[in-house]
Amino acid sequence: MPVSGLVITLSESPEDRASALVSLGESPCIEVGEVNGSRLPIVVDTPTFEDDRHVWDWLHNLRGVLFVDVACIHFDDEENPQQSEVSL
Amino acid sequence: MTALGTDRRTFLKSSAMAAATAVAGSAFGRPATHSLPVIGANDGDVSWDKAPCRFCGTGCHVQVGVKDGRVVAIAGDIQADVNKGLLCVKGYHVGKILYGSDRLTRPLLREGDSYKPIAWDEAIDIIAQKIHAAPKRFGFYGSGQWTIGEGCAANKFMKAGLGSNQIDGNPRLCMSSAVTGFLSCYGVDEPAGCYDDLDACDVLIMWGNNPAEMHPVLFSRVIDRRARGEHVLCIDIGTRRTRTTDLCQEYLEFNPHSDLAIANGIAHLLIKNGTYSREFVEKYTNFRQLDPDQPNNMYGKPMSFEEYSSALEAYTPEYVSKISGVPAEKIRMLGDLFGDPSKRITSLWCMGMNQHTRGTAINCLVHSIHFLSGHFGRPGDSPTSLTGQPSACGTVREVGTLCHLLPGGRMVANEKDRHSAEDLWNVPRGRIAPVPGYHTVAMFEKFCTPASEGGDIDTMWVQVTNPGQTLPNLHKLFNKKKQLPEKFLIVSDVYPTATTRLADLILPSAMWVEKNGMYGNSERRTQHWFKMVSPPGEARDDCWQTIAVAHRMLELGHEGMKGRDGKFIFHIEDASGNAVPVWKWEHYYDVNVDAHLFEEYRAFTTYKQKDLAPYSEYVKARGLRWPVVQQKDGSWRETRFRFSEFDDPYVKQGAGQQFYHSVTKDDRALIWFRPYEEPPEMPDDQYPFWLNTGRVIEHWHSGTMTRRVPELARAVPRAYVEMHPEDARELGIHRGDRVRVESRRGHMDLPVWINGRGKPPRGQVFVPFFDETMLINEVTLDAHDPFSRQPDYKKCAVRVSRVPA
Repeated sequence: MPVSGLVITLSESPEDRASALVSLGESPCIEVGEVNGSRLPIVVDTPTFEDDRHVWDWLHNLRGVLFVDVACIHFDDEENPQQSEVSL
Repeated sequence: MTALGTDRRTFLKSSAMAAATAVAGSAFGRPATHSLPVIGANDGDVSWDKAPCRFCGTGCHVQVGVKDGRVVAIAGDIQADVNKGLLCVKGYHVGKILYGSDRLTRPLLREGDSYKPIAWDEAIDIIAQKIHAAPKRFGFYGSGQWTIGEGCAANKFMKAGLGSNQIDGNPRLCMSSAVTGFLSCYGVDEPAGCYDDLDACDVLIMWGNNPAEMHPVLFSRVIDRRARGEHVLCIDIGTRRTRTTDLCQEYLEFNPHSDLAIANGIAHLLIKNGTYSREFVEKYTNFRQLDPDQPNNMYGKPMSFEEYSSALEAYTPEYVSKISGVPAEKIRMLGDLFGDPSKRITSLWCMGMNQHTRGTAINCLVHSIHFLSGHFGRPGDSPTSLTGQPSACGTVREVGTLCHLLPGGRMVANEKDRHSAEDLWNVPRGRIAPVPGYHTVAMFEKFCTPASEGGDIDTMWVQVTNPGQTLPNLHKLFNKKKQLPEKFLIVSDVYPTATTRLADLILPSAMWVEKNGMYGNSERRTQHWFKMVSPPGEARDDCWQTIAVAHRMLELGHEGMKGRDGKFIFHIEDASGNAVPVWKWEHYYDVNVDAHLFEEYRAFTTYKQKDLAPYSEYVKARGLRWPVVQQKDGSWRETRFRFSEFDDPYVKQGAGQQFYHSVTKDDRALIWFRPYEEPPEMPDDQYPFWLNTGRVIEHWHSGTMTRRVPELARAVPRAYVEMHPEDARELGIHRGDRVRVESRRGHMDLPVWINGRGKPPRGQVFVPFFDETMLINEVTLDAHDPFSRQPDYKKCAVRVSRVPA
């Protein structure tokens, strides 16, 4: 159940910015902070890491979003660790 | 999975918003207005400390949250100039790389097709006996992920202990062409500028570079400027469309290998239009070309301005367009930009220019057009190479862990340099061998060749890298080892890898914040961290492993393990002057071994003005860029712009620019002419496609760490081949089909991704190399640059066919 703090860089186009803000505001797993210049802080709270990943991809392709950076992640509520396929 | 309590979750969300808000309000080029830790600041259970990220050469700093001996949280470090609190998706998950379920926890010795656990003492003894029996037939293969301390120990063990230069590192595969480029032009390695150039440039040119995915935090600095209304023209000169292309105003797609023609085309226009900088050229440069009588001499021979102009005569925009496929008007656009002194131009590059059989040449040409146009020496006017590993610069280029180098820019072939190194290491004169050892490709070729056929490397020790996946032409350079039982492969690593498949002895290593460490990033910034958690099981530091083997060899009677004073070459005393037996693991952390090795190394660094500050200064800082010079008030000042009077303390007053290690000994840089030449292998009727290989944002290099992070592994679970839709249609291939990519060296079967993230042009396919189950380097070419010895992973000829279901 990841909680992450992200920083979105918004487009300079006012129309694209507005479109992005509307879309972000409508997403149930995203809490939107206050725009600071071109940057927008958001918190993503999803039930699974799979959902977190989908949100990440969705953000990258959202009109009005130029870039997505990460500020923090909490993962002390850990799911099973991964093992790779090369074994001894 | 356990559910988080409502209060806890609310707390995490509010602290996440606080962290993101603080980062959103930070800005590059301005001091931090918040102090970290922001997230968890009031969470009494979690302790926080700084560390550089474990992944790429950007050198972002993270704050690492530790609870009950385990890393539980990561935050971007807002006090770090490099990233101002931002992280990419890999940095976001860096804490999880420690916790894959298959960590190696015990030394393992091969018995037939399986392994048996053995004690550390036995493992160390086996290695020492192997090396002691034939020290000159032993090769050490290290890494740009070695910490500075680990590199110092390995280099001293080999060059000052064994008297052998058979040590090389994986940066040979990723940035050695950048090194030879800097040496050829400036006479000394590493960039003059730094990341501050990204905050000041008007034009950013990416030469075969995809920073939106490979160095995203750096690219974000520029995108943020544009989003704030600044005009920054971003130009992607590439062979395939990427996420970077999507964010650039100009995309110039060129035929593979033809970047040399483009650079020469720019120089041609600067001369023809009279827009080159006469002042910069006359005051600060000389002209150079290769000497046909000595083609292996990297420093070439002088040429006049007239000869230089004449050599460029053929590179008209139309001729360059014919070679490169870039429209002539776009070549003119580049010529006009470089010809405009009011613009500030930064060039960035990484593997696209370095993994190139003409890597040294194209590096020289990009530096040269900056010199010729005078776009050098002001913030924002700089040619800057990026690195892919966290300490390719710090540990390999600066500590000198390549087969021809000694610490601080010294060369093994130079007698004065050897004597200086012997003095500083306190070993007898004559200890260091005068002949360079084997570079990476040659070393593995010798290891994979029977002794009876000249294969004179019998034992190899690999630390912190995965050559069984990352060497080119793996069948030739690695897989042959399987048929050579007399060869002995030792691998120190944290997880099973493509390299441990063929290992005879596997040593479990500590990683990242499980040990003390220092890294040096792409912009000359030396960074420090302390151990925060314990490694699992019996895993131990690579540095300790090297020192333990050295001491066991001392016990076996190897005289090289003694210094001039008769003491062990890793003799370390505590603050009271008592010797500490650091070769015994139980005493290794009785003192700070890293600090001792660093202080010994620091004495080497003033020779070529790469001065480092005392260890204690790095403990306080988020890294410092060398040369770091002490001021009259006792403080230590870093240098952002080398060779420029306004910032570099080693430039003489009134000099303006001073290239104080110039090849020509007159403080001038070299402007090179290097012609375009065809690559060693090109598509033909039999193998009609170019193969390009590289990385994806979710995975770091061979995927050993990132494939253990569930969300990264799930995001991109498998390698794939990107293909142009028209090529696919002609071959009857559909998205998701399995195809065979085949070269003259091998083949690999992969699923096809059409119109995916990257978009190759017709006639080219792209495959990422992170997947240990699909080793694309069984297909790539081992041809390499004649000076840097760096292989070309970006282009070879392949054919593609559908694999029947």
